[in-house]
Amino acid sequence: VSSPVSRVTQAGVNAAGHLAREIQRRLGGDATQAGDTEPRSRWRSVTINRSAEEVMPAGRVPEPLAALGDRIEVRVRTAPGGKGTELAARLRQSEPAGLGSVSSRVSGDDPRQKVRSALREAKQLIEVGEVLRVDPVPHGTRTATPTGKLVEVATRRAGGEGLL
Amino acid sequence: VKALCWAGVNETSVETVDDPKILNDHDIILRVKLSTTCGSDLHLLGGYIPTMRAGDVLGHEFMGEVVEVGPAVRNHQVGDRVVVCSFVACGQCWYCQNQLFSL
Repeated sequence: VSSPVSRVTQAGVNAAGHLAREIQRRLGGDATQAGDTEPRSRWRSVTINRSAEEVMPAGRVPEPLAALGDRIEVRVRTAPGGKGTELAARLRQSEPAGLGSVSSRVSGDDPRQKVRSALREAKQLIEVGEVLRVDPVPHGTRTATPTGKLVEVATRRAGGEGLL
Repeated sequence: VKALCWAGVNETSVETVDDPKILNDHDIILRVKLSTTCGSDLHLLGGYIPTMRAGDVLGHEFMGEVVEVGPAVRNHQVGDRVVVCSFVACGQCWYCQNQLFSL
């Protein structure tokens, strides 16, 4: 007979395990659909303020997403609320997991980052016609500090999955 | 050009920095005549913004004279006196077209 404390502990462990599986399922996306045994990453998407025909004229995948070729699948659908079109892409490979996932993100050679930046750049090119550059900006004297180094590394890497 | 730079928590210095360059077709370079201090400058000055680095140039509410324009600039020319809005808006996304420029 387990004590109340151990039962509570066990309940906590079970809940944590369930939560971890749930997070994994959500991060991993719908990679394991019935009838499809090939691994896929989860969908990543941007909303573009244009019609589907303007986003993918004659079904052509927009640049720079097209440069990823057969490594990705692309789909478009009408965005809710009259906000244009959702352009989505996913990798024809499973989502990197565990330590390899962290190291590929840090190294800057991560297929997920390529998909995300290509989606963002496609949106910018279709809506505005250019990808805005903000670097290099003039600056005064910089002293080398450990936190400054961290910010530099984070700024260099952030372009892959977001902007800093 | 001369610029007011952040040098550390509650420290600023006037320094000579590289001249700005036109990076995008819609860019404008301004000779700043006047600038003001915004409430958010206090957060920058106090060191509350983690990505702030020594040497960063301060001042995002300013006015001045246009000295250079990018090839896609249509509404302004060299010599125009302008006031700058500190929000950058693309004008093309759903939010801009619904006049929600700060989103």
